[in-house]
Amino acid sequence: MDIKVNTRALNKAYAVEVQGEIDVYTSPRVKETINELIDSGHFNMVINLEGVRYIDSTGLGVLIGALKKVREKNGKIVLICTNPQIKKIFNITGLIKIFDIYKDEEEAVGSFVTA
Amino acid sequence: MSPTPNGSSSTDKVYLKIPGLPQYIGIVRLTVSGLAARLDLPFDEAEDLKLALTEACSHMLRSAGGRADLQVGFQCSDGHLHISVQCVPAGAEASCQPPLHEPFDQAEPDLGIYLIEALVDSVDMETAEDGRIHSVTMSKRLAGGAESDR
Repeated sequence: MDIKVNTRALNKAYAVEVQGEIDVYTSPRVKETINELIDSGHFNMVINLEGVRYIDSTGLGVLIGALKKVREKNGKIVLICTNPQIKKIFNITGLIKIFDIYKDEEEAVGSFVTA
Repeated sequence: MSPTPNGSSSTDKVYLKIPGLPQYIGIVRLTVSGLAARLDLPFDEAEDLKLALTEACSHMLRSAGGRADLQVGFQCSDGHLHISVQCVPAGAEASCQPPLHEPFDQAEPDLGIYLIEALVDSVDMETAEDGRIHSVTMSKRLAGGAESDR
């Protein structure tokens, strides 16, 4: 039920690595971290969900809100996720069409280079 | 908590009562995991139930404004797992706390309901006169594992 959120600078974006469960209790931590990056002028992000065991609509809401904010600044958020259970949630909600989801950081970062 | 070998329904019920605070919703998921193991449910079904129930609990906490406890009931009968979530009067400690807003401001309530409906076979929400949801009942047909007594 705990969550860890780490960030590090990449070449063209910032990596946000989330580990644990994203729900109504832990999602504020994720939101806070992403907002700090946006407030610091970082509008390109790779959010790594490989360490996420669980995400619900609260967590999806954080991602949607972040996407809206960075798009206002002509930024971009992409996701890394290979967990079939997590991807299933994106499929059910239709968010699979909204977010670009990659299988590893190399692919995700590559999407910024070619954009 | 499983149907008897001759197929008749079990009357075993499991209840969990948690404070109406976000930090306790994870305990509901742990309970679902435990029951899923007891019923020998496939992993995917257990994960679906965890998500649907968490969404229901979050939705009710949002509706109650953080000032009610939640009681979750589980019963396995007729090849289905029936889950109920009800708001119950909060304890004295909870009533002294300020209402919760921040975690729910960022939520996507429509997404939550959509997920519940997609993950279980039936869902029924009862609302009070003031429009607040005061109970959610869900049912999911159990495949395979729960059909034999364990």
